[in-house]
Amino acid sequence: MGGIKRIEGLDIDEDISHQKKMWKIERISWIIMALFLIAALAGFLGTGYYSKRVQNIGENSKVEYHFFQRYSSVSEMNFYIKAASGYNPISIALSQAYLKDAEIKRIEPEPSSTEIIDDFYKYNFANSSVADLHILFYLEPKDFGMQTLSIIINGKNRTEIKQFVYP
Amino acid sequence: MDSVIRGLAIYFFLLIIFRVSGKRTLTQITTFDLALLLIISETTQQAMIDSDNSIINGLILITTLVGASIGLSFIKEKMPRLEKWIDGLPLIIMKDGKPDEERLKKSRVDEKDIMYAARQQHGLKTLDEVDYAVLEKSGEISIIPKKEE
Repeated sequence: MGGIKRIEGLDIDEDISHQKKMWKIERISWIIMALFLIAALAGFLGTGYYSKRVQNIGENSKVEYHFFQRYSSVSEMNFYIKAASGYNPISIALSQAYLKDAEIKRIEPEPSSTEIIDDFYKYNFANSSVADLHILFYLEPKDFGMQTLSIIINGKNRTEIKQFVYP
Repeated sequence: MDSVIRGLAIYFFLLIIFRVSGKRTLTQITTFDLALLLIISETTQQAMIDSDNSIINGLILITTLVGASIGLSFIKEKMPRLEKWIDGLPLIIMKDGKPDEERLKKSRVDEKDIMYAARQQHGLKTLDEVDYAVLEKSGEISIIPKKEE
């Protein structure tokens, strides 16, 4: 009869003080669940409004990316390079340390050539355009935690960006 | 190792989320609840296996889930206080033919649910024929009918 008491003529292991605590925990948990969903909608748990970052990478160029990433989930990294930069080819170099933990799934447009220079993978894009260039990398994180990506555009202007990858 | 951690993380997350969502959340299976349960199971499966469809990964995950369940049952046996938190306790929601409104409201149960259980279990026609109703830890409602005079 361990734990079973006779309450109102019923042999039952009811414990109303425990139940009241559980109801309180349930209500607090519902609030936490609502906050979790609000955070997800706002972009704190992946792509979304508060996750979006724009960083200048020199020569009137910029990179647009999401700070919050999810493990194994593909996200975009957009490079906007000004036509006036005058380089041909245009090069984007990404640090090897970052690419060890993230896989490039696709690049649009495809680079005309790639090179390995020091600790960087360098992607060269033939540039015969007079318009601004938009280069899109699709990246899939292969590890979680804080990641740092170093970017070098056209061989100069080294910039570092950070991303947080959720498991 | 990755599969074991994934399996355990999902197991304990589901345990907590179903516990705090209340006893009645998925007890009374309607067609929509069944669809919801299937969606949850599909989402869970994708989160657990990632992209590894190998047999060995499946075996590791099944062993992890069953092992976690056995481990938890041992812990609950040794620690009855923890068992209360994990499994919950039954709650009397109607006594001497009178529904306890506060308990009903907090448990998200109403008289229609009691009457549904009364009809199913004992073929009762009215609420007046119910003596006791207990919300069990499984989320089901047990009915004790009044003794016939």
